Amino acid sequence: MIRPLVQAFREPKSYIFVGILLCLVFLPQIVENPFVLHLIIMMLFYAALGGAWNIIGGFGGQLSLGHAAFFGLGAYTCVLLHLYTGLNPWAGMLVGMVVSSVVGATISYPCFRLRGPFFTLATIAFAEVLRILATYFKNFTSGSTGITIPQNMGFANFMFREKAPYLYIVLVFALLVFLISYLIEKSRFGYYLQALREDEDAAESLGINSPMVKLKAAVISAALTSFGGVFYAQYILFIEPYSEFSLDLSIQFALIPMIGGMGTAIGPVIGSFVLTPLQELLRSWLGGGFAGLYLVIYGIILILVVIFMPQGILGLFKRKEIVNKETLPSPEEARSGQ
Amino acid sequence: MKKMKLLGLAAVCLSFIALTGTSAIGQDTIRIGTLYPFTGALAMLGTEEWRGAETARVFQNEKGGVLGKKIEFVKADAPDAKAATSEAERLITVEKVKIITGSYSSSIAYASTPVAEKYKVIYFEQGGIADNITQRGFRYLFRNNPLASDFGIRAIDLAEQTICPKIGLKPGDTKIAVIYEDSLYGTTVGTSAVKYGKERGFRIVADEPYSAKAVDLSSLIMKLKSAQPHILIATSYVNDAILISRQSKELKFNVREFIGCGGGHGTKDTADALGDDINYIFNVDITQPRNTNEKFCPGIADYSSRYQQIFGHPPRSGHSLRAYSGLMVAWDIIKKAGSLDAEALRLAALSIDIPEGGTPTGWGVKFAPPGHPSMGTNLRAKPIVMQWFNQEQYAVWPATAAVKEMVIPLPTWEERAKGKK
Repeated sequence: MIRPLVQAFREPKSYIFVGILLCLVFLPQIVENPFVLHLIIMMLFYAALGGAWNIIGGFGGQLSLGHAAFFGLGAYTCVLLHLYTGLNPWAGMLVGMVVSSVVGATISYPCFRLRGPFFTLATIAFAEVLRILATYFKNFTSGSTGITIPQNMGFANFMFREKAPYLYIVLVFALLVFLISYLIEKSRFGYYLQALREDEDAAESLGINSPMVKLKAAVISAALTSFGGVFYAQYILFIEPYSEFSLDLSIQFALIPMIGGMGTAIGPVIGSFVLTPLQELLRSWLGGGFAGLYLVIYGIILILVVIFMPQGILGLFKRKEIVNKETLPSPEEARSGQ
Repeated sequence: MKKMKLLGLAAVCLSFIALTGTSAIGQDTIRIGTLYPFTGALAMLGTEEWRGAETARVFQNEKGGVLGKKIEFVKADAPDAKAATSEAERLITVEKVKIITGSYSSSIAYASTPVAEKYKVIYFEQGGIADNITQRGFRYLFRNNPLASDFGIRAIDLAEQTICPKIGLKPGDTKIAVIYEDSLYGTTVGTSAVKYGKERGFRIVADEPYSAKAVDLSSLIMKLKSAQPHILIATSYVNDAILISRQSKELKFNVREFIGCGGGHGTKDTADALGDDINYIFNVDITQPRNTNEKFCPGIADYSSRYQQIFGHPPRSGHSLRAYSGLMVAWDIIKKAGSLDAEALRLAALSIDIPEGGTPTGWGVKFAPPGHPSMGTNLRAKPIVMQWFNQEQYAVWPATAAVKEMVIPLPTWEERAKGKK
């Protein structure tokens, strides 16, 4: 497990990565503007959640549009446990991750028998069902009124007045997702997933236990997404069914790796670092003028990226690399060369 | 090559961030952030409410502004709660506004007001009706409009004071069914109608939430039909309001009286879709810019003509009127405070005391003092009751606001069909 990491640090490009990381660590000391910090928190947040989706959606090619289900499940589990039993949010977060993993496994297993659009539809329906349940049991979940998390600042309560602690937590989260993705990318497990994505029947004929492999990826992805849900709940201190389980959120999780580069560890990071500021800045520059213009521009940019960079932004770099490399291309490089 | 590109990418990202930090801070103007949903599902009425605010701004600037300075708006688009927190953060820390006004929707107001509270920025809320927005003990939040629970209370008042005597029933014998769409808006209004209905001794025979996105509500109507209520209280958006009336007609579900609580029951779109079937339905709503007694809401005609001048058509709903009315009061608060200091503004807002019938919405203004369970909310804002006649709604209750006599009971579907022949 350690070997790919050690190898990675022999390459000069990893130092750019470390450099950016150090910048982020010292950022709160330099930048005082809370809006900029908020923007960076959101960039890291979506990088992590895009990365979590990427494990099953990008590597495994299972186009889920129901990941908000795990996001909301994590948030609701943690907040409800905190309210009713007084459980510490950090512990609640772990419980949320376990709940999401178990639910993810039980739901994914039958869903994986569905292929293509049918799988996608099933995941959307799953998230919708959870949203309706959260609305329906209003005595327990407060329904659509939502739950305000009582303010009680401090590290033990996962609640801070300042933005800096949130930035560090989300940075650790994003790093964790990135490392897991990186290890998957370099491992046998990752190749299994990619083989399944390319041709499930061929992969099975070579002896890959496809339900098991997909299940593992789904569980890892669900648990990490759940962490994101808890983080967001503790950041905003308010949860309600419509925003926690929304389809828009699920689409956002999928969009980020698609734009950055699906099925790679760094893709979601690039995707989020480009899309999140783009969206926020377009809104703040143009949102005040002609209503909706920023959405049109954002949409056009997305369409252009999909048309001219079908492999995502990362595809631009990859194509060059294949020409330069004398060794055999790795599977994902071979794909981009198609 | 690759490194260069990565570096380039990083540079682009960083320059984006750097650019957000630079923003001109107006010196000779009073800058006010306006946080509204200009895009997305809430855009239509969100924009309408902003237009009311804009009318108030233009009007005041013609009179010379406030504190000798012109008023300038900084628009921020908040289509959902997530964007609302971001945009509130940006308005305060990047645009450096001292006052924010907004936000049409309860969920947006709920998410953006804690940000303003944290930075001690005054937030004048004009639209969010959910009770819990002002139940968090915020010191810098002032809400001009009525609460969701006021709509439920008004509907029950109407049933108790006017409908019951007319149809010859006592509250204890009157069966009321309450239905509401299951998002924040419907839930808060509906549950308050149930709560106050029970308190006044009515028999609540149905308490049914439903999804506003439903394409068929016949099972709900059948359930209501078997409960045989005398009065139906519904809180709906447009499509579901249309569906309820259409399917009630198909299934021959009749009630003695139908009370809608704003939303779809106060919108022209519903009237266009239902035609004459909307007539005689009651609507408990915010004050509308048309067909309301001008003695009750002074300045309403003046408002309508100014709106027409700026936007080229008459106001589309009462949402713009309430923002206009709220901001005209806000200018007085700023004048009274003498500066944009948050503490001075807060004290000035708390000292405002306008009796009912003193603003263009007919609402008085008295913000609940600190310590009050919903501190910062306007205790004198109350919804009024309209009734539909010939696909137009007219104020009918309370008597001071009325321009027409109310008609009770609601004709049955059979009577309506005969009447047409």
